[in-house]
Amino acid sequence: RDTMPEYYDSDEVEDEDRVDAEPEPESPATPLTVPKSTSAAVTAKAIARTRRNVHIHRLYVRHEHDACLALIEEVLAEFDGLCEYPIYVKALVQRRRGRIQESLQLFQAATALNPHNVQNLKQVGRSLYLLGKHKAAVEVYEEAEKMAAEARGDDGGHEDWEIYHQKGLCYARSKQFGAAAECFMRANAVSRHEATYEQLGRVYQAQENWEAAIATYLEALESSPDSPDILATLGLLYLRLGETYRAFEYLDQALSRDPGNPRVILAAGSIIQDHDDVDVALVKYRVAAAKEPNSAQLWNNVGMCFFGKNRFVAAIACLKKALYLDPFEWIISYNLGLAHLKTQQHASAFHFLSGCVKRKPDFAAAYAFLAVALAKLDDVENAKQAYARAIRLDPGDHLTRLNAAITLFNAGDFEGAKEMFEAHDQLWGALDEDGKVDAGEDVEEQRRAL
Amino acid sequence: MAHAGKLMTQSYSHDADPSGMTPNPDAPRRPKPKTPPKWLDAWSDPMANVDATSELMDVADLAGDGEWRLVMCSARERKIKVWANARLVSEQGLPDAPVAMRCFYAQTNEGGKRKPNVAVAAGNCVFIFRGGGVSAYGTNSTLRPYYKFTLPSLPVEPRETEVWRRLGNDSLTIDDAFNELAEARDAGAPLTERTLEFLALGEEELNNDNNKNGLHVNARNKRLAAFVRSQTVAGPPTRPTSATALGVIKHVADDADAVSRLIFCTEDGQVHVLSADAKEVSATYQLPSAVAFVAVTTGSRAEGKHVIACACRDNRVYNIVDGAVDAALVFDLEAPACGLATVGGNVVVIPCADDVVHAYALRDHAVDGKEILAGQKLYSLYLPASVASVTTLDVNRQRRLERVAFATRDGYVRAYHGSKLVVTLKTDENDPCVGMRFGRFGREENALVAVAASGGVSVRIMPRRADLTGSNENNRDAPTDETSRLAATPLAVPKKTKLYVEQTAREREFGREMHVAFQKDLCRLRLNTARARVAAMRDGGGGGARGGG
Repeated sequence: RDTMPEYYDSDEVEDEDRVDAEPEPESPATPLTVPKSTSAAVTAKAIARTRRNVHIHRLYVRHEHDACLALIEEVLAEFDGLCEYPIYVKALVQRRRGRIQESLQLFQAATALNPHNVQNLKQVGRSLYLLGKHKAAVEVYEEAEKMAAEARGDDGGHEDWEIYHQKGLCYARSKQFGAAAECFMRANAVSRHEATYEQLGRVYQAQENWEAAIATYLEALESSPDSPDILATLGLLYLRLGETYRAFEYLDQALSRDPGNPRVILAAGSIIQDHDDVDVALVKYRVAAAKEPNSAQLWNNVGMCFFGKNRFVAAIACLKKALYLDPFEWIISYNLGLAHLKTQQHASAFHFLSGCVKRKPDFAAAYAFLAVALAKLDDVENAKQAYARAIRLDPGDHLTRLNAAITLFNAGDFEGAKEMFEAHDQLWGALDEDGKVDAGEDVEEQRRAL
Repeated sequence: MAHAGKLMTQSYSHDADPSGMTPNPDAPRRPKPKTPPKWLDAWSDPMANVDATSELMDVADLAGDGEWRLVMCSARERKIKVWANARLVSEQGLPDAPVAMRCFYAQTNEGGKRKPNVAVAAGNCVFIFRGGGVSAYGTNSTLRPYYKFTLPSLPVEPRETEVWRRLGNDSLTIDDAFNELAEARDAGAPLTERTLEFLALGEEELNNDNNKNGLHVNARNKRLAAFVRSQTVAGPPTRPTSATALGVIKHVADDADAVSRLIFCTEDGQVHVLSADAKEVSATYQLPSAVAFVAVTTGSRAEGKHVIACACRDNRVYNIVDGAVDAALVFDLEAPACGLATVGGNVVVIPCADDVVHAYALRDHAVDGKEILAGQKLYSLYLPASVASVTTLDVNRQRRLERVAFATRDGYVRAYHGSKLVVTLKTDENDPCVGMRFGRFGREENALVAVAASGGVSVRIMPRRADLTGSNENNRDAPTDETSRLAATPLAVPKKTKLYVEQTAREREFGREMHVAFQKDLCRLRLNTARARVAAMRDGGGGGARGGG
């Protein structure tokens, strides 16, 4: 449209009045000197606010936060902080950096500048949610919903799934799981997203509604079949429910997508270990150990791998490292106790096993082995008590009774031993091959002794 | 490696065979291990100091002599630079910081080979340049500015215009004007910058000091009056808008120099399509939010049906199909898009800021006999690092193939065919590619021009034998390699000292005594503690936790 204005020649380009906005004059003195190309300068000044939005946005999505903030500060300094989009992005960056209170204030400033922008409200809501003020957040989201509905008008248009998703998150945090589930379902109805499915699944898990959780994740897999996170979560869920075969299927798929995920490796490795394939498990754990060397569970599992290979010193070393990383985990103490029993260090075994029962008083096997340790330490009275406790907790365990029988026998209490043995025999008869193989020799010995 | 085969034959004829195994000449040869063919480094200039992203780069045959040149805009320096044959041949300044740049072929009535125009979007204008080829004297000429296209301003609310007119005539007081404009704002009308500034100034004063009302109101009104005076000099308020992205529609044929139309997108969510002769706007669409990236499908359809995909700042991708914004074809994203690319005329690929790439179908089409509906999500790629730039690889070989490539921050450029990784290219880990463009360069086809974060430019040529079908099993991704490397490192099992082993032996011998001694001491400790507690209670007179401070 325009013919070429003069300032096109390269010489004059540098001199052309830059589109810096002049600051407002403080005193009502002379009006601004008007530059020669009036309309262009005014236009330029008018868009000066939004001119750099593009660059700000690009820097932000490329995660170049420092450069982004620098540019934002420049723009804000020019305009006394009265530009909506730079403030918005600044708040987003601050939130990423963890300064949530500051980001909340900035979002509120952006809302003040432009009260009709749904995005601002949504972000205010999210900041409130992150600060833990769930009720306030829900209120803000409902307002945002209303505003979005208004903006859409009567023709429907495209609903905003994020509002429902975020509302669901707030409800979930404040433990209103029913409302949360509803919100997530609505969000999914608008537009399916992995994140929503994951949250919905988590809600169901919190409600211990395992079927619904599994169904949710399976549905999620339909829309995003490659997501390593969903595959991993599904695998772990199956594992928790005891369906190891299916769990392993999913965990394997997750690993093929994302071979370095320590959580998944741990889960897959534990399944492999259960099937006695210790070396394969060890190889898998190597990767996890490199990625996350300070995981107590990992070292526990590694220790048990060595245990399975009868390398008890190495096992103890790993287990002690695990214990150092997480002293309150009863499984590690239990394993350490077992390992020490195997190396005939009964005093240490006692120490660890008693620690274990302190933390988990209802685990029968711990008492049983505690009793064994005590028996080896010649403390028959306490051993008997420990056995009694173990039997009370788990009356179906034949091994405990066998050990009890042996101990009583060694202590000279033949009557008690005989009782125990008979009880053991009954249970023994009801067993199938596996158990018999384990305790085969001892049974023979006992039978002979009696 | 091409030399591996030669080495094998050499050792084969070598007499002194250290391994003692002479390969049997009659045995079938083992197939050579397939390593992916390497990309040729055509040239690179690490000191080019170009601040350009994919939106600011393009290759075009500027002079029409078959030698394609690279045109880039450096945002920081506000310059547009042209490279030919590994040399910077021209450089000139731009009136404003460039936002996007594209080369396109306008339909002109000039005879002879068509030459492209270079469009640069900056501020609220799109500047169109021409030339940049070889002039009559055989020297490289600079780009000549040809045209300046100002983006159409947005309509202004009539109430606002009225208020400002009356302010200009002094027929309205500052307070009244302020109230009216505030009303307009609360009613949700989009206001001009001028009004927003006015309102913000007025409110700032109000909010600052509620106590000293009288004094401050006067000062505030004076300030506002000064502002009004400065503004009304310029005339009625306007609402100009600034450009955010440029795109090109090739709607008749697929050739690289086909007639194409320019699209530009604005801060207010408008998408303007220029007419074929690049002189006026032929269509405008309105989207709810500012457009960040735009991409157009390049399927050649006789009817000219193409889809304009726009990634907007509200984390959505809108699509304009057949001349209207398709309300059903909107893709919601969980994280903002950091690029946009179309592949194969039917698929849009969206890398997002959370390291995931989603691909959606834009049209109903069939793949391998399976029907795919428009709007269906095709696949998601989970990348190991965040995406720095994306580009479509429009590979020209016996057949035209299209692939998508992502440059990620871990220093790799990965190209995908669908969801299969096809090519991996390693660049510098600390210097990811922030801008990429694929096309012809010089006289070479299939060149990838990359701009690194440090400003260096490099051109690499795709090898002829590069397998783009994704069937090569050796094409494993870097993280997989890393994992297998990690798997090879043995576990760092903590070591036990000899002292420890001796202690364990001791324990085995004296276990009983150790246990008894330990229990005795433990009981004694408990007893002493209880005694001390009782004493403390008695003496302290009920003070439980005193002395803790």
